[in-house]
Amino acid sequence: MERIKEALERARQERQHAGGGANGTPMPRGGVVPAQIAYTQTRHAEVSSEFLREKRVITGRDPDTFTDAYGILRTQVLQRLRENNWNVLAVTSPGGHEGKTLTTINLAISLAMEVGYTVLLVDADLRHPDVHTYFGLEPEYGLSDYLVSDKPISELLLKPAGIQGLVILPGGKPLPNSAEMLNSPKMSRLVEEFKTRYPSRIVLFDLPPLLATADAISFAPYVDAALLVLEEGKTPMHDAQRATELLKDTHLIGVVLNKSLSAPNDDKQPGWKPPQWNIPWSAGVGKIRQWIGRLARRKG
Amino acid sequence: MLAALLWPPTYRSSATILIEEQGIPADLVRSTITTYAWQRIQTISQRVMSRTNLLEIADKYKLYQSKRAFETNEEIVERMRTDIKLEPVSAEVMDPRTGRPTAATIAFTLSFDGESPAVTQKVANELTTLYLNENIKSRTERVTETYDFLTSEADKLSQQIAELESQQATFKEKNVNRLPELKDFNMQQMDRTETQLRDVQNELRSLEERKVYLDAQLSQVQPSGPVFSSDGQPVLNKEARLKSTKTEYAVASARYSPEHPDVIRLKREMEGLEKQTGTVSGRQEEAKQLSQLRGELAAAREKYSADHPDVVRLSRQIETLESNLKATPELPETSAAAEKPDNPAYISLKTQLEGIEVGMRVANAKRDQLQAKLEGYEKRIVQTPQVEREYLNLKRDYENAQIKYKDIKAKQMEAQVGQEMEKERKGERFSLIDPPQLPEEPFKPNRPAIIFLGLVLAVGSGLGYAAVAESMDSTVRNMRSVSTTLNTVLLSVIPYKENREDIVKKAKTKKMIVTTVAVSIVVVVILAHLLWTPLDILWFKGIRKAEGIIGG
Repeated sequence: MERIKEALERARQERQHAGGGANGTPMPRGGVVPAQIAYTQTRHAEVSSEFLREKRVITGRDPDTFTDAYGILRTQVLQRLRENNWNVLAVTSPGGHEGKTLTTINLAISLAMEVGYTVLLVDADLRHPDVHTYFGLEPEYGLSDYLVSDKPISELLLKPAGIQGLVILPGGKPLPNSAEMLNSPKMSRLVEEFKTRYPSRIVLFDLPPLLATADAISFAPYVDAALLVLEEGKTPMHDAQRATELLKDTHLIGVVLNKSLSAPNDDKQPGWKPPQWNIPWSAGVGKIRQWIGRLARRKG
Repeated sequence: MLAALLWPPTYRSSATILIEEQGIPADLVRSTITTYAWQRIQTISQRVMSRTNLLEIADKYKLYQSKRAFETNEEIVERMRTDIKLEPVSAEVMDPRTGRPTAATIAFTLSFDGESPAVTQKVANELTTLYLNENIKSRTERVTETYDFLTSEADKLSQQIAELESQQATFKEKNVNRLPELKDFNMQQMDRTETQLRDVQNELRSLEERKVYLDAQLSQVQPSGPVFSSDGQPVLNKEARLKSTKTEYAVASARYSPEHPDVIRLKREMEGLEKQTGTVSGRQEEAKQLSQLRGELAAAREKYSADHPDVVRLSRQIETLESNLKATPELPETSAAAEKPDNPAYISLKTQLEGIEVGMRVANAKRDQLQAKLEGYEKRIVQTPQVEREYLNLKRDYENAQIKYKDIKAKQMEAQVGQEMEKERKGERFSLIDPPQLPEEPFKPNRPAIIFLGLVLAVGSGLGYAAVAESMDSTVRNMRSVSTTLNTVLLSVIPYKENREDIVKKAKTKKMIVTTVAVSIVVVVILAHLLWTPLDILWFKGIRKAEGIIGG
């Protein structure tokens, strides 16, 4: 906590330091961007890697199946974005609490670790903005402030320390009329600006749940593509089907199965496989184990 | 598990009652009770388990105290009925009549389930006593009833027989001659009478023939035999003399005047003869004179006055004649002519004829008599079949009644013997071979079984629930199914990552499970020790068993 306070303090100082030059000169279109971008306008935020690990945010330092899974995801996403020359991607899920925010963050970090890409992570879940909590940050302002009171974007951006090429736009204060705000021309203009400002930048939007609110659907037309997060054993199949139906006008590049117990876990040594008996009930036992594990987690 | 421990214990006390066959072989003395033993036991049960009986017992031993407050008597009785159990003990027996094996009830157990061992035993005792007494009572009653019934039947029948006998007697009396038994006799009699009748008729015919013959003979014979005068001249009889005299008189009167002496003599002779033969009687003469006089008088009166002397004389004569007529009594005419026949032939014929006439009269009378008799017999014979029918009816009724009476009488005797047998307690009887014991251990509930069942059910329902949940689970699960059903690409499968919080939680859960299992094992052991079998005993039992297995 001490460190968070420190980070906040520093952020505040930086903001003051940045001063009036908020509306920085936009980069010329198609301009060559150096590989190492100096985030002169963006505030740096100290983030402890220990804290991140507890929040299940990948740090890139501990190679395990969890990080590898994101690596796979990143590769797949990148391929599709490159193919279609897209760079704005929205991440959503059918219901709440299915891990979409964490997936967005981890995907962003994973993408940022790829050489040559910078990532802007926008917390567009204006009802419950919580991207910053994963980094242990408590920003004063966020996207809502831009939409409501025209706070300059450059003042809102945060750059967590230790993660190269990742910039976060926090959500700010929760807004009750988030759907209207996301659908406003201001927002569309902002997205357009994000899209075009840096050529090798990927913009990730963390959207509210698809089926619970209208936010995601109203915002979908502004993005190039969408990614659907499903939680194993929680998201009902028909909800997933409805979600894909709703996103059929948007380019749905794919789905991610989250919190999977059937996927190999990082507890196991690489290359070691549990002995497989060819007994019919062993599958059942595995299922029971899964089930018990899920129950225990749900209780927690 | 809790149910197994908290279930109130139920004690059962039971008695075994043996159904002993009758002591005297059934071939020698037959009991009048022929129903199956089990059927009888059921009947007794119904009597023993009557409402009043059960309530009495419940009150006496204060059964169901806790329930009496809010349950009706009906419910209490019902509860008691379910607590009383009656079970037959059967054995395979060869049925002597059919030769097939059948199950015969040889004994039965009577048990009572209650909450307290002592009370349970007492109630079972009471019930057993009731059963035994009821059996004796019902048997005695049954036997007595049978005997009484048979006796009354016999009395009725003997009365009937007496009635029929008297009926028969009166009938016989009324139809004494027409009884079928006398039919042959009557026939014989009739035959004999007919023969007799024929004889009589024959006799009668011959008599008649003889009479005709005699009549003919008699007409040829003079009643008076020829009379010879002293000169040896046959003397004419009076009639012939009268005839000849009359002829002489007629000749004489024609020749001579009436005053002629011959004529007068002849006339006198003739009158005398007439008087003798009786052809003319004095009275007739007088009557003739009188009518002549009356005619004269009438002529004189026409001619003369009444004072005329002729008229007076005539009147006087008539008066005298009339008084004479009145004075002289009438004489039988025959007497006038009564003259005994003297011809011996005539007389013998006449006598014979008279004898025949008498014989004929007798034969006629006999014939009439015989005919009447014959008619009587014929009537009897004709009536016999009718009488016979009636008679046979009566006889049959009588015979039937008699047979029935004999039968009933024999049965009555048998019943009496059966009754004696029951009185002497030599009949089939219930004997208590195993009196109700004080139950030492509760009969119910079977706690280990319930515990075991509970465990099985718990595991089973758990597995069942898991299976159902599994099959009902429609959440996203399988990677392949996700990509196919959603028709999109599955980009990545991200495993669940445990953070420290999760690990701590897991450890906590593990610890809790271990503690729970340990505590429950301890609790089970303690409960087993307290409620089931003390542990030390269990231990020794286990050792013995193990030794047995090793040794065996």
